[in-house]
Amino acid sequence: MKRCSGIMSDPKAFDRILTEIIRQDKGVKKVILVDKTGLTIANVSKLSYYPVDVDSIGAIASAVFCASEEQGKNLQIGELEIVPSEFAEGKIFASACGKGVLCVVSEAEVNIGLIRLVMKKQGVQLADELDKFLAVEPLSPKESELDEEDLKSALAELERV
Amino acid sequence: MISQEKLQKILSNLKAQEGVRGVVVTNMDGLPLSSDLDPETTENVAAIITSLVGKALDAVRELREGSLSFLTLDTTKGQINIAPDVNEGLILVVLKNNE
Repeated sequence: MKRCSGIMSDPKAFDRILTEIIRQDKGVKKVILVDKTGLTIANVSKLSYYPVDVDSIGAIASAVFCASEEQGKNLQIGELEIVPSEFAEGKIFASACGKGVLCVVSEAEVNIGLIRLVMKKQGVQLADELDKFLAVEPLSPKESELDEEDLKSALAELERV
Repeated sequence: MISQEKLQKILSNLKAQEGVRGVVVTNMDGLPLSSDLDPETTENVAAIITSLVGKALDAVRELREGSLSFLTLDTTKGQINIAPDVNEGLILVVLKNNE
């Protein structure tokens, strides 16, 4: 059994940070925050009719990022920061943000330097928010402890069987 | 395309000028190509100045004022001189201290 810890996550914090990222460059079309298992936590789009399967894009970005991370571990070349994927008509960037992966989908003509900078800067804030969001701790032993009477009745039950 | 040798010569001439505290050359994608500043400052300068140049290019085009040749930012610390070359896809940034 798990319960939330004392630090509460602001439900709108993710949207606020992702919106901040999407506003930085006119070429940014979509920003998605996923956890390392590929589940979408939050996303924002510049155009509401931009037709993409957010969950699938996020899951693949997370998988690609984690695969590259593994390569880095095997080669012992330190922590992975950003994975850029350049296509003929667009770019996808995936960066680490604590327990999650931040994914930015953009047009081909985009200020790569600025996107890198923003992803690194906002990634720190997102990591903090994710920590709060995912902060769960098990019940303390005192609360989960069975009292003596419960144990006795359980033993009696066993003996009867 | 400018040769690396020629570029380095121009940069060392600029660095030798009095009051110059940094010279950065970046491409139009905001990725630095050459710099004498620390990596973090270089990355910041390249990204932010490229974004500014992009907006300035848009403004000049929308206002039908020909082509952008130079930008100067006067600050309390000094000056930021920006020379974009759209044809080469390069931006030269010179950071200067107050005299």
